[in-house]
Amino acid sequence: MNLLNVSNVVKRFGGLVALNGVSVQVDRHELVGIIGPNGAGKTTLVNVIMGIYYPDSGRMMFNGRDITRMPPHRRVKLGISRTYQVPRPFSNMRVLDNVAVAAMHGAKELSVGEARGIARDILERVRLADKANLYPLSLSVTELRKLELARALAQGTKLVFLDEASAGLTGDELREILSVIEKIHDEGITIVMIEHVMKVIFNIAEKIVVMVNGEKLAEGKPTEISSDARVIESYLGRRWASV
Amino acid sequence: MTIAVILVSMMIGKYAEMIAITIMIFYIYSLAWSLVANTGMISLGHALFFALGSYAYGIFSLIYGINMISALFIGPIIGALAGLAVGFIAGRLRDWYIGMFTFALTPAGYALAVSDQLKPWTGGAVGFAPPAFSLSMSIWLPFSALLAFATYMIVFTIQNSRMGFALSAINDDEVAAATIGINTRLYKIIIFGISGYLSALAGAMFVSMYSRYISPEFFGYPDVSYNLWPIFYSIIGGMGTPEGVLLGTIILDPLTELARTVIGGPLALVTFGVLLAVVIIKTPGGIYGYVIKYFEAKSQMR
Repeated sequence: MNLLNVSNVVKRFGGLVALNGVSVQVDRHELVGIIGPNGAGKTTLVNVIMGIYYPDSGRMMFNGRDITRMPPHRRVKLGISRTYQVPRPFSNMRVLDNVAVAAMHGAKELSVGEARGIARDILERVRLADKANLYPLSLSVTELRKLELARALAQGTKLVFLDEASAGLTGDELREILSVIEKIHDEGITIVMIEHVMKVIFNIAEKIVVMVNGEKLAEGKPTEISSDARVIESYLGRRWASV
Repeated sequence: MTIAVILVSMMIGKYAEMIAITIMIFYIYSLAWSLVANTGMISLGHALFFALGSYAYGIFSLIYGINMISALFIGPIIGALAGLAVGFIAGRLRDWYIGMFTFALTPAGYALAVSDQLKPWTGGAVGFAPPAFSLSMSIWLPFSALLAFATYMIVFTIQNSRMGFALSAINDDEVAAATIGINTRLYKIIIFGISGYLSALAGAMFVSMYSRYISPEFFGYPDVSYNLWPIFYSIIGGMGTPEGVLLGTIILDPLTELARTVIGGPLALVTFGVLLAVVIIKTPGGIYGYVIKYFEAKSQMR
């Protein structure tokens, strides 16, 4: 059975159709990449799955439960979480408490003490333990991305959406964040990565979904996608597709 | 602590004791306001709860003959219920809309208090005097100090609990708070209810131990100062911590009294307005935040 089953989701903003009948399936322990140019509707899809917006039509099932019109905080407790493209830490809390507050209100309701204990373990896992007592203001971009990941993990999440977790990172930073992502995937967490840089995702994803203009253009293994003429056309233009 | 307060009240005069009692009352009121403010909701109409508390206390004790000590604690339940209702709406509003909405409640409360329909209970525009408070006057100060300390403990406990972390997260970034599983609307409603109760308790204490008279202007209309005191005391003192709010109340409440008798009420508000502007620009964490930063910097230099 699929962990997440999104079927025929439509989301309009006024006259703009941001999602036009999108269907996506994610299996347990899968690592899925969603790619597409800017404005393709990738982040809108994440927002709809998280419950920031409700879809105009379509249906979403998570772990056998209908989540189509469930409030965001209840989805989190079922085990769906996300990170933000632009990290959104709680700036008034230390790094440790940023993770602890997520643990307190996640899949299990934990006391402050229990949550801090879990937060310490998780900071260890994402290699951020040495920054536990700092405020988010003094973290680098890579560290903030790790903090976002740590918060998702602290919630006892089953499925995490990583919204452009690699954006703006290069070289060592990129390798560091990707190795952390692969590590938590190996630990059994299902991951959906949203990217618009293709090369990042082709090496680690097991399945790729390509979105263009609010629709799903293609879906398949990375090797199938990289040779798909329609994908090349939408990314590189018509001229390259015929080469 | 209570013994210390009794000793102090024996040493200082009656007038000073009166001011000390108002410090306790307005500390409770300011803490109540900052509970909501620290959840990202700036209320400009907290006098609604303050006035509801004073009216409920007066009506319960005068008309329904409820024991005054009981009325002091039961009356504020009306404030709590109003807080839950206001929180239900304010929780759906953002930023300044919360300020506008809560501000609009105060003339509405005033209008109800002076209305002909409710006059049998409220005494209309004249207001009414509740029966003299049954507690012996000599223990008013320790009694109010005890209530202030209890309120401090409540706030301290909330801030260090799961709920406090949730409120702090909501204050920081409401969308991110919802994405980590916090039921933001529910927490906002609950905190407004608690704040409503405590504000109303302050209102009931104000009537029983200070003004001994209930007037519709407690609703913060047309005299807005009933709305403004907790805002001034909290922000100038440092609304992020109960200690900052205490500092603000201890410094400013006697000044309010002084200004009211020496230069007249409206001018006191002018001074506070200027002081507020200076504090917001120079030290957003309030006077307490400034002091803490100063000592932290000093200890780092060593």
